Amino acid sequence: MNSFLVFTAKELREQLKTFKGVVVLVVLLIFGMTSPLLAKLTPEILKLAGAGVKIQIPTPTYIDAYAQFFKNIGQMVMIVVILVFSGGVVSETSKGTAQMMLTKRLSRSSFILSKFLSDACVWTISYAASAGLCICYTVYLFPTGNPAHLFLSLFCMWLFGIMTIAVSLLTSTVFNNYALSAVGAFCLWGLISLISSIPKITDYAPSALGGDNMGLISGSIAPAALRVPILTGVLISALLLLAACLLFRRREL
Amino acid sequence: MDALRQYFPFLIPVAVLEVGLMVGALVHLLRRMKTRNLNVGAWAVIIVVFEIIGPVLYFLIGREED
Amino acid sequence: MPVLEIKGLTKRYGSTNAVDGLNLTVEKGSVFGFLGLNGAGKTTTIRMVTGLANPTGGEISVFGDRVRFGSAASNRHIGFLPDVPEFYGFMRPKEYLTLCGKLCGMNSAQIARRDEELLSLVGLADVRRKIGGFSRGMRQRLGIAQALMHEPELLILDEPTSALDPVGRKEILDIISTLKGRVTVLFSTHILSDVQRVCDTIGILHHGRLALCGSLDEIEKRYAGRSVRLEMPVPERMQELKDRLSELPFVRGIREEGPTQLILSCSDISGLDYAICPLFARMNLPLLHFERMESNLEDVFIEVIKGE
Repeated sequence: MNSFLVFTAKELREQLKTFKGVVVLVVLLIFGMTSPLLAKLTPEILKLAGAGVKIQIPTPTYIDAYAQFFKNIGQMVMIVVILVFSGGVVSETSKGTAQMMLTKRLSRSSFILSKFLSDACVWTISYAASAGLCICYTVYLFPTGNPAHLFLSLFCMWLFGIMTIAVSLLTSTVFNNYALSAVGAFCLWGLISLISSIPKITDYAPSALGGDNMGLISGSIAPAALRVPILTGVLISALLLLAACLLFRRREL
Repeated sequence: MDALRQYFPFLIPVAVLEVGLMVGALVHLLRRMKTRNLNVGAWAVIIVVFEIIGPVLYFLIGREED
Repeated sequence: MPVLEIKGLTKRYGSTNAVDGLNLTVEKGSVFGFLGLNGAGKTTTIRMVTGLANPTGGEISVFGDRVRFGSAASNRHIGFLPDVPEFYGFMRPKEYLTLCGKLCGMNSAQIARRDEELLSLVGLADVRRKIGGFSRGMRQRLGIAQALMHEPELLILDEPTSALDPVGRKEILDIISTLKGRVTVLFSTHILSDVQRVCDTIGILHHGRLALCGSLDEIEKRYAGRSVRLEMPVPERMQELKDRLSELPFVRGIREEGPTQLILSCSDISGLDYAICPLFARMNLPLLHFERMESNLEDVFIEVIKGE
């Protein structure tokens, strides 16, 4: 337990010192602010671009702001998350720093779980800051309107991010170079979405965590509908982590 | 244009972060003059030309360990 | 109880056996030189001892603890320096040692004391730089420091001197010498002079098997006086002489040293004493010099490996 915490502390410092955590934070902050801004400014920009031409554009609302936010997080940010975190284990095993640590009294499971915990910390802090900024901007730019189930919606996207981290960590333990690990993570992530889109599975699949956010905010999806996806999201993340630990234990270094 | 101007205060932090990321990556690159995967010049161009993505890629795959 | 006991250790990669039924015992307090050509299986064996690689067969125990693949439990006795130690480039040496100490479950007072002791032992006490900017030699020295951090009873060094310049090598060997008697050291290398400098016991690994094992003194005695240096001043007829010498049943190896000298290694030295003069007489060649040599490790090594 002690070595687990020690190694987690080292991981967090490394995220800071090697700019990986900083990159995730800055990207999330940027999207947190630009999403509501873009929603607000799009009609103005279109007006400028098509000067003289009358275009009918509906006045944007807070719905557009959050729609932008969840779209950006669900796509761009997840890509960044995969790119950053799919290098976590493989960079250490291929270089040889992991071998130095694992011949001390650090167990292989602790190694993996430390990586996960620190990745999750970076993600949680960055995402919370980003969501906070997004809410502030949205409240200021679109004073009217009251989003339904905003926090549940935000929580779902957070959990979606955690699952993405677990996916990246698994491929990072399986492969022995970064490019393969990143490509593998994209494939596995795509596979989970693909399976989620099979009609009979859709209602239970974790992809709803990153897809039903706007439905929750506009009120067209009841919170109860997310109960099972949240459960499967947690379950799949746990299974991915378990698989990473077990595979790493059997891996020759 | 006036309509846009009133949102400048909101755009400033975004610009600060984007420029900060770019300058941070450039300073990191120029202080070491060592890279992986591509040469220093190519990375400098990527960092400056591609907003956000450029510096992010540099820190992920272009950065040489100190 | 032996410090390290390896029984029937086998490691198979595809159809080749990198380690093939290796039996090895390292006694407490010895400095064991683990010799072998590149690819003899030294690193593979060490990776199995430290739990990084999975043996195909056999058993390893360290201080009576069975080594299990993928588990770090038996590593509490071991300090390990891999052939190319890799560190976190963003850390400073003291920081790295502190991390190692914490991972080994030491308290902060112990860590502070060991940090200071070890950094001055390996000559890095005044280095404030990040490890990323270290030279090979500095990395190797920091590697020894991290291996010694938790005062292990067994120190395993995988080719600690191979990639270093003569000064760096001497520094590392001096550090190992100062550890003599306090820590058991297993030290793999293919540089024989290093072994002669610091080891008291050697084991020669060849094709994944232990070809020779014993104390260095004993081995040198056993192989002493089995080589002969002779000088014959007619270079043109050297090849002819070599051919004739190799026909003798007790000559096992012939090596040229310069155009007029030969080194012979023999299984029966007195046989050569009788045979050499008649041979030279028959060939009508002058014999300028005939000397029994003290055996050196290089000859032993080559003989053992050729004898396989």
